[in-house]
Amino acid sequence: MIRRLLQVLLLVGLGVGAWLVRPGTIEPVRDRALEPQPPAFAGCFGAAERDVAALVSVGSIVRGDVIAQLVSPAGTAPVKEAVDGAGAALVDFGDLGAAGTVGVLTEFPSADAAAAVTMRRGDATAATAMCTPPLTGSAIAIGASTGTGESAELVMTNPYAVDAVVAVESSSENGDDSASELASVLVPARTTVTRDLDGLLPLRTSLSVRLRVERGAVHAGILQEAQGDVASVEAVAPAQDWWLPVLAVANSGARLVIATDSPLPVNVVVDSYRAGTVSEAVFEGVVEARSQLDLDVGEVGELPMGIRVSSDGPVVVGLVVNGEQTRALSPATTLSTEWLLPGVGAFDGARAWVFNAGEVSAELVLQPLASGLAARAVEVPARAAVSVPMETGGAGMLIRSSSEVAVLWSTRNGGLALGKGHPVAVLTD
Amino acid sequence: MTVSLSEDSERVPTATPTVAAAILFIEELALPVTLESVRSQVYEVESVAIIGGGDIGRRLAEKADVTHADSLAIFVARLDTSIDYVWVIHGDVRPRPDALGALVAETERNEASLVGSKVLNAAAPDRLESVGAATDVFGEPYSGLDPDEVDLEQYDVVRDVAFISGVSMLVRRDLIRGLRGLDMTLPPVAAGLDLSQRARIAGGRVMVAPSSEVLHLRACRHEGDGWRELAGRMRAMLKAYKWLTLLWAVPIGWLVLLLDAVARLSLGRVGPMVDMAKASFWNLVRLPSTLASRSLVRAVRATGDEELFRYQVSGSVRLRNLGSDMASRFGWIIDQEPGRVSEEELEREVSLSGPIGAGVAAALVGLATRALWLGGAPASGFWLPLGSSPASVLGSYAGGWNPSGLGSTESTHPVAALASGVQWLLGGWVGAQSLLTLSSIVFGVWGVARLLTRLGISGAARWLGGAVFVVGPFARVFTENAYWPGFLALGALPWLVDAVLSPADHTFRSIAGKVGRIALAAALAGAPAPMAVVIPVVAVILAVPIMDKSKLRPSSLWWAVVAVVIGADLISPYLLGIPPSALNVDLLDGTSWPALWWLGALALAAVLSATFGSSLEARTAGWGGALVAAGLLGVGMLPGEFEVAAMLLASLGAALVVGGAAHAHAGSGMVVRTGRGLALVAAAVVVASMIPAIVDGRIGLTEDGWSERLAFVSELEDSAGPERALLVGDSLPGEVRSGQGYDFRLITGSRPTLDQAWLAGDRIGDRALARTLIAVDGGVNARPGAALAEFAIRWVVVADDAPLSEVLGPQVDLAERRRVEGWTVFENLAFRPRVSGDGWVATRTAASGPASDSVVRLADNADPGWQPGWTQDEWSNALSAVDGTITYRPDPLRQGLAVASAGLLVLAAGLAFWGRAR
Repeated sequence: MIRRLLQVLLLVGLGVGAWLVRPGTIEPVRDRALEPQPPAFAGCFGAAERDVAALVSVGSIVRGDVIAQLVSPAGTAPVKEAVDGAGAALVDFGDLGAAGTVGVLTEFPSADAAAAVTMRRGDATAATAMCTPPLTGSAIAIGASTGTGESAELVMTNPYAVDAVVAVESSSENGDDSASELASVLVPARTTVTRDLDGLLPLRTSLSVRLRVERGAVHAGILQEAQGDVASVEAVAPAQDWWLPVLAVANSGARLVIATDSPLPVNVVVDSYRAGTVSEAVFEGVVEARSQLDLDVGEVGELPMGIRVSSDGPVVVGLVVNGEQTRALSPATTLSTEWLLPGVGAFDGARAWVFNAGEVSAELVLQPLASGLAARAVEVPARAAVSVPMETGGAGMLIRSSSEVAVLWSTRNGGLALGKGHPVAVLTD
Repeated sequence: MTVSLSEDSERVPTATPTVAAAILFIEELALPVTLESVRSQVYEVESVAIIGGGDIGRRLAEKADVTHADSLAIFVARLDTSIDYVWVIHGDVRPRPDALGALVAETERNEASLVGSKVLNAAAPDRLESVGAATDVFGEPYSGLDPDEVDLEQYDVVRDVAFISGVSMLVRRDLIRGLRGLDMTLPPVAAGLDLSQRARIAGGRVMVAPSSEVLHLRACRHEGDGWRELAGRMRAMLKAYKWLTLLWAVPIGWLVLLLDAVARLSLGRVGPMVDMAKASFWNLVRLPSTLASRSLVRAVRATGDEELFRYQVSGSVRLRNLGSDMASRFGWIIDQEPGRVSEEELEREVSLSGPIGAGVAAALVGLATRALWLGGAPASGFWLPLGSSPASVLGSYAGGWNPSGLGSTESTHPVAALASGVQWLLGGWVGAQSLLTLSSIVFGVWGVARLLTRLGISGAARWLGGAVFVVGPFARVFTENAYWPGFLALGALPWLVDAVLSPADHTFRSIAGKVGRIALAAALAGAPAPMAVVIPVVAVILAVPIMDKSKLRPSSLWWAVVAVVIGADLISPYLLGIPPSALNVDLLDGTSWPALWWLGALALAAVLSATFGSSLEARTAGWGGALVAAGLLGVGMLPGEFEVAAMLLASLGAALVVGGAAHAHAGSGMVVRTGRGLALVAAAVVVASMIPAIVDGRIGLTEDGWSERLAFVSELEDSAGPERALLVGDSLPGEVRSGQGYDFRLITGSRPTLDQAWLAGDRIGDRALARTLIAVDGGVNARPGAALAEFAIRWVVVADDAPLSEVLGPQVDLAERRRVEGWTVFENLAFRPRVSGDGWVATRTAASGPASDSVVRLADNADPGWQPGWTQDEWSNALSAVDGTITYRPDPLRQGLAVASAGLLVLAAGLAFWGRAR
């Protein structure tokens, strides 16, 4: 009896022990997934026609080879250019074998580089747009119009080996205003797909295109012809804080377009910075879900000024300059202490739009990305937007600032070209 | 009646038929008894002769004053025509005084030609030996009698039979003369069959006269079986049947023999296979003589084969006996040890519960595994198909290059070597793995039943325990984790424990047999689960406070240690360089842990049986419970192969708990009866846990994913040798390496194979690949394919939910080829082969190509074992192409150990067979 009791006790004891150390679910011990890093490549698009001179300008902090390749199913040979001593490289669309509206993939020596496409047709028109990182989520291209005599072309280029599928919607002055034909667009690998917005959505005076990349990755934007000028704007990902300098352009007016792909209405607040003062909440409004807001810059304040747009939802803010022989588009940008302005050197008379939102003056050092050109210093007063002339030649300009600034640039070459700079080092709190 | 039998066939019946007795010499001592009994017959014989026996027979004849003839045919030829009948009788028979009279009376009354006596056992005169017999179409005798059946005159009917025993028969003199007597090349039973068949097709009646009783001393019984009788039956068939009948009867009969021989071989009996071979050869040699005899039969043939068929049983007697033997074997396994089982237990054993339990267990296991047999095994986890080159896998085990991942010098897992060895022995048969799985199931159930029987458990409980062992929740942990080696080890583990516990007498043969059994079981359990060789030690230690000395001998612990030593020796090539992952990586996921209610029921069954069961049940269930608890402790505390062994231990314990609890018999007293009843209910709940497995039919095995995902790869694979694929995501086959938020691994070829399941420890190339993947994962570079091409990766298979998949959208040199259920297959457009030289083709462990003075790069982990002209090229190998071939030089120590292990294994099998209990 005692033996049996001991046996039972042994059994129970072992059982309790087993219960206490029972294994749990194996949770794989994994390192933190890597934060997305800025890619060392960018894609852009442009029109390469006989009377259009299109150029990829690359500015790079790191020396090495730049590889540019036309987006083509046939797989054209890439063009390799070395970054010169000034940190610049230039690739002509003609050297890539481009014809028509095409895409180009540019690979840099490092992520501390940027490229832009500039186009000019004689002395009449000019346009520029930044080459962007691949879009794999949502993005919005703002500021198109399809009025009488105007054309707008949505360009989606996929330089990659994987097919992409993009859902395209749009909003206009009529609110959510989409074409069913664009509900799901296949962009095959190594292919550029264009859609005529003026045919699909005619007679819109302000059109923002929302893209949602469902598979793969693309680079996208809008090519616009209006007012006898050419403009291009790249699609960018929505954010909640935007900054932009706005300068006066002769014989033109400027509009601020705020678009969202949010399924909920978004509250926006616009602050203006001018002559050392800040006017907060000069505009407060609501952007309806999947819609846009069109705001005359004149209603916000007197030019030149800096504008900050903050919101409680994802939006994209852009600037549309419209006037006689003038149509220019650019997304707003962010703050940074270091900017690359590729493409600036392609035009005579280009100027940088610099917005210093800080409380003290910003000391800028401008380093042309062109051999033989010396750096120079410029001071930008606090809480003001100023125009800074750029040197011609090379790939553009590298700007280093003592404090955070927002930078766009423009050139008047008959028509107006307007583009944003590339923030090399973004400082965040 | 035919006229061709003899020249005096038209004899005139006499008033009193005359009989000559022909006593066939069997044994010197028995013959005088027979002679005296013949002489003292009420019905007197005209003459007596002794047939055969050589000089002894001749001397005995002289001494008894009777004639002697060397053969029956000679004797018959000499007989006077006045003799009507010949009484052919064995020389070890004591006929009752009226035996001959009854034979003559019935022969005359029925106008029969050949009449036999009822044969009783002289040692037990109430036991029947023969009252005539039927055969099947292949000549296999079927008496219909149970062994030692008591004669209650239940068969006392004069009737026609297929053949009569040659022990005592009365045959018409003219008939036996026309048939040229007995075929003296045949042993007695076959000779009786042969004569009976020839008599029947000559138009005679073959009958048995039960009123004629003879007592058989059975001195000739050793001649009743064996290859000579089998050969005789074959010859009788060849002589009697028409060609048309032989056309189908011979091949089918031979197939039946083969099936029987193979089945009995699986039971450890070689005899039937040898008998079959010898009998076939004997008939082949005597074919001319058989054909000559056949022509004689044709001369006297009066009827067709259908006259023979009338007295034959349908089907095959041999197969029927085989089925009966198998059922007996499965229903009553441990009967080899005389004196071990009590009479009471024997009575219980022969009850129907054993076979029924076996049948139920077989049905449960069959239902629970049906999808594996109907749909094939999946490629998942460690349940992976065997490679197409078993020899190279064996080479990898024996100190050669192990190409798993980026290659290493570590031995491949011994289960891969075991499976490849079996595959190699079966000529590369693709079904080798299924055969192993099936064997594991069958031997797992059988082994548990055998172990429980050794512990004293009988009836259906043993089989239910066996079923729980292979498809219960603990076993399903292996299937749900797709860990095939663990499942395979289930087949050998109970045999290992049983071999350790089995008694051995002090003869060399017995001890050698036990060593052989232990070694064989340790190898078969240790190859799939290397740490399982330790289980007997744990099991015996836990049994010490529980089992009594009749079940657990003091030497058992030493035998358990012997199992560890031998088992470790047999897998020494692996243990010599066991990868760290084998000892520190969790192989079994806790999500497959048995449900709480099931563990509760198991614990209840163990505790209640240990408390209220009979001593037998308490010991068994108590020991089982202790094994379960120890196993679970091990699973909770130990990783890697130890964890697998612990789970095996738990599964064995669960089987013993069920065996003990389900064996419960009603006891005395309300409390005891209630306790045992509850234990039985708890055991039933444990058994019911197999229902989910029965419903899904896959014993929880995960669905196949990789066959389809990689089918595309095999379609596109070119002839430059197997190419590498990088798999990224969760639920990858085999072992994995951890990336930044995902798992990854390499496989070589168009499918993951078992030998690749285990990865070696991180080497220089593996670290380089990990760094490359981190870079790719960052998405900085647009050309991940070029980076992966360094590692000869042509295919990248990525789970869509893996973080890495996000960066494989914007890239230019990994082309998407297929999307399958959440996975995407990319082809690397920048691919470079594993061996870089033009025209070079790589196999798993070598490469060849045009000889030249150049250097070729081998994209495997750098190792100086590669030759010729090895130098390190970053993390890979640079080799001279001067020979036109590059090979890996195996480690001679591990190679020698592997060869020695194989030799030991064969020796162990031989010893186990030689020293098996008889």
